[in-house]
Amino acid sequence: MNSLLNINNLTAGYGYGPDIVRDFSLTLNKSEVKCIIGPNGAGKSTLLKSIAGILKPRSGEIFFDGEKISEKEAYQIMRLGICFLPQERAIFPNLTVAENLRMCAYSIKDKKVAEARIKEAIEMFPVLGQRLKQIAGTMSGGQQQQLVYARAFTIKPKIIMIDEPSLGLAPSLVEQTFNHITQIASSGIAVILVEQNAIRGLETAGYGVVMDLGKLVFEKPAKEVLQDQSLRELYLGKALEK
Amino acid sequence: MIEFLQVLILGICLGFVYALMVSGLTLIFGVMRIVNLAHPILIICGAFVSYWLFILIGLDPILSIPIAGLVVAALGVVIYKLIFERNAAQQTYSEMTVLLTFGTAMVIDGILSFVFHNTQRTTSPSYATDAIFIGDIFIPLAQLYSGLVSSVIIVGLAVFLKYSDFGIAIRATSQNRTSAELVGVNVKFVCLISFGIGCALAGAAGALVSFIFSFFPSRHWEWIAIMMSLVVLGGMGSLKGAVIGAIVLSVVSSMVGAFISPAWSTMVFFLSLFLILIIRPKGLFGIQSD
Amino acid sequence: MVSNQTELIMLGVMKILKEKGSFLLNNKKIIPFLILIVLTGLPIIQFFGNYNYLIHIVLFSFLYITMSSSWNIIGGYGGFISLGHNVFFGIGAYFSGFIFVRYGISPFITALIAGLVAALFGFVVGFITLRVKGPSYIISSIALLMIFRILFDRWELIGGTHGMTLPHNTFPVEWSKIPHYYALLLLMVLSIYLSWYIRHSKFGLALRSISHDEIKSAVTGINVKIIKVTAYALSAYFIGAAGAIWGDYLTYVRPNIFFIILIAANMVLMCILGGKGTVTGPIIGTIVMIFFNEFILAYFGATELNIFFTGFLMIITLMYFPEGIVGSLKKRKLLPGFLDWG
Repeated sequence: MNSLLNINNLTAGYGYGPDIVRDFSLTLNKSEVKCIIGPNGAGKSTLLKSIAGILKPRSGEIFFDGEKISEKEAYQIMRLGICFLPQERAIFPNLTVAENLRMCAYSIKDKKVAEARIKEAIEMFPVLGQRLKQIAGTMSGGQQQQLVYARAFTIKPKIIMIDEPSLGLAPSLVEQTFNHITQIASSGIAVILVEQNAIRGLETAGYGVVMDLGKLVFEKPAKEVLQDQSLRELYLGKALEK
Repeated sequence: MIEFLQVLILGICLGFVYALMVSGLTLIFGVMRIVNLAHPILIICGAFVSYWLFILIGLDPILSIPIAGLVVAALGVVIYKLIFERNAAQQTYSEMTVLLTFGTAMVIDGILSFVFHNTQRTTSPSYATDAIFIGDIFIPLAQLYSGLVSSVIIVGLAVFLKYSDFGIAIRATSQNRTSAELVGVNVKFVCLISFGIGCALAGAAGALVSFIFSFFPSRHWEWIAIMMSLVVLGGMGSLKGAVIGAIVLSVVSSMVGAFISPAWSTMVFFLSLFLILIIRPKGLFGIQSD
Repeated sequence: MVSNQTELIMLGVMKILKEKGSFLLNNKKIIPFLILIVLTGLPIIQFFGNYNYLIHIVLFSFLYITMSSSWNIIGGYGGFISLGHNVFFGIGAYFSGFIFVRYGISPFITALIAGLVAALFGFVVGFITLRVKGPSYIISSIALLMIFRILFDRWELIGGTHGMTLPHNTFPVEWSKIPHYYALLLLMVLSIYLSWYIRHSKFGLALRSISHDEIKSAVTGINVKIIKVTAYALSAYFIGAAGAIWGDYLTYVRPNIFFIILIAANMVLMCILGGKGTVTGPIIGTIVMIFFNEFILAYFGATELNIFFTGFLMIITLMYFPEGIVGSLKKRKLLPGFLDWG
């Protein structure tokens, strides 16, 4: 139990609906990058939501650093060090960039640390520094994307979970986004990545986790997943023919 | 011309009071999407607090603002805990939530009517009947003071929302609840505190209302529609909008009252609500409910 | 000993009910038909004494069943919570009252025309207000009520704040209520029939689909606007007609009697309490509410507390059983068949 995140037999779903994630177990070690792939409706986003605490698990346990988090509120989990970037752009469009950055650092109680972190993030993304007074929603897509990833450097979480970072982005932006993710990973933050663009995702990750119908199919080093021909056919976008 | 200026100034003073009356309403709507039909009766609660403080110990209504605010805020927090907390989590069913606030308004109205009866009351501090003259323009002190105090409170609220961490968190929560939670905002706590602040503002407004209007428990039904028209004009959920809407409609209604007939001055509010419906059929609120 | 006996009797009754009663209870027609016969014959009791209070309570129930059933058409099936629906009540009362005072034509003759006036007016208002949904709509309905209150308060032709006083009828006291009794009974039956008919018609299906999602309904080819506005006008019709009869019953028509939000609140509460969107919900809700109100009046007397209890009941209903009595029973499959009209 020395790993950073332990998911034990997690089952989750929405409202009165069926289980979306079923009996799912996964561990994540420090500075590890795991990419979860699988077809639409496999329960990848649901998994991330229940780790983040937005969705309460139906059964099973989640431990973070040895502490049980599966019954905690989303904001408590976040304050412990798990940052979740959901599919929809997680910025506040009507706040200014400066206010958005302040919100990113909201969980940091020490004001001086918070200010220093914001400064750091601005150094990382100089564009944001030039636009501090601008309303975030009026920036270009790429700039908004930078604001999203600035959060990782402001908070410095232990784990960052990213849901479909390339969804709906222009190709040039996809490249930029994956650069950000690599940057985050190289700074020692563990990453759980859910990605439709499985090949691109696996190239970034150390491990590939295949998920289908809410269950874990298997977990292998990303390189092996990429090379496995049958897997490529099943999950990496080629048509399923039998 | 002088009469026009005079009505204009009075309208603006009154407009600030109206703005204070709706500021809490618009704050609560922004954060929780609750259209709080109980807000006007909470203002009347504040007015009663000031009234009794004035009658019993002779405390000036302006000085009793903090007390009225605190009392009503406490009441609001209790109401929130009892009724709205479980609904605030799920933003669906907003129609049912409106009916819940409506029921709450009836409950408070019933209690106040039972205890104090529906007789018209007003506090009468020394300045209530005084006036000053600027040139030929005659300005009653009650309106002037209440307008000034209201504008001070509103500016204070705006500064709090704009610059404090908690204020930014309130605005962030009203934009996207989940996103706020994901940066570590305790959304439930923010909701509770915003509701409390909203009710405190109602209480503060009540203290001022106690000497510029006559009030009685059942009067809040009339105020519901008036206050809604103000926030709807400026866009619900926005403080700036509420202030602008309040001042514009207050001036127009004062003009109608002065130059057409006092009987029709409140009609301005209701008609503007209907006009907005015709012009902006998408909905009355700046922020869409879902 | 006594409790033992009552227990035995109870058991016996239960047994009989189980054997013979289930047919009776689950048949959709027999019990309602029996109730209708009893209600039609009820005024006979006036031959045996003065039961004016009973007659009053029953006809008061007729009035509110008419109103809450009508409200249910737009509020329950259509999903537009109107807190100003008593505007139509007032319009009906004022229309017939004015004609009575001016031309001496009794509201009993003009009631159905009063309903038409209300419906026509509903049609026009509906075109403006039904464009918005949810909280916006609720607020606009309150504003509508306020506008009417001011208009009628200021309109000197129809008496301003003092309203109009209508001539009494010349019947002896124990019979004076009977015409209103039968008129309201008729309106109630018609309004329930209308509600039942809409619930089972294609029109009602369209209306209910609109209440779920207007855009999807429009995509399936429903003329959303016409359906909404027609439903609004239909729901106004019997409320207007009932208003005309009620004005005659009270013998005066005044803004502060007809244009107060408490009447609308009652309609909404009765409908939600019974189960909005069901045919029998408003009927059950109204009966429960009226008993509750009489109980409160008998024990507490004060009318100010009435509004407190109404609000309290509304909060409890919304928080703990938002589907209402009929809806909750139906969900648990406990609803006897004679109440299950869809």
